[in-house]
Amino acid sequence: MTIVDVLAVIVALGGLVAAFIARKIWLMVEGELAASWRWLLPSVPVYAVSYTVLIMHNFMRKFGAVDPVLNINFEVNILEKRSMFSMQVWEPIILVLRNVQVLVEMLFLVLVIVGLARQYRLFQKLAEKQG
Amino acid sequence: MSFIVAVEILNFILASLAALISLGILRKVTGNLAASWRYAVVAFQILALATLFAVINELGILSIAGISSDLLRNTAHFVFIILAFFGLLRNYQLIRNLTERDSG
Repeated sequence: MTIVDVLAVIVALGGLVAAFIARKIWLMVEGELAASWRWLLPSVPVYAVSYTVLIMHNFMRKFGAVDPVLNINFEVNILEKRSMFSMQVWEPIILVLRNVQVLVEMLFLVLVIVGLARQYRLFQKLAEKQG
Repeated sequence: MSFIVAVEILNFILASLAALISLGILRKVTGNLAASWRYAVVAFQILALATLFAVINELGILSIAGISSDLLRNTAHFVFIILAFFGLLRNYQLIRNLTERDSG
């Protein structure tokens, strides 16, 4: 395990602890502030999930098989003309995992932006009331 | 351009937008609440930097100034999660104090 992997594990665990604190905040607030935290709260575990997927991806890339996962060979025979086709599948799950990771990270950011935008509107309203 | 690079560029834009909105909130609040939002502004800037490192890594640049771009990305995420954690913790302490004062 390299320093990169250790950091990734710490980040994922940190995300889970942060999710716990976000939940505690959500339980204490009411009204419009609670509505904004409703968006920010799920974003934190989503971030932790994204990082866990990244750890899995890095781990599989490092220790995955160096040979093709699947070999498909088939012969086509049309009007006495023969042709041989072969197809190799190389660890497709690794590519899929990385795509899933970036998409989950995007979901996290979308949730964060919606939550932040709601909080901004709320604080703007409060500032206008005070001013 | 691969799918991952495209999404990571989008993530960079979103993280920068999150930093800008946090800055907007920071300008509207004062005192202890401002202190907790100061963490959020820096955290989202670091997150944007992390997505930028991810793009650089995906484009095939494996090291920057002798440091692996993988390590730089993970370190940026590490700093982000530490800042986000302390920002949330300060927010939690502030709201807890307010609710205790209300109930007391």
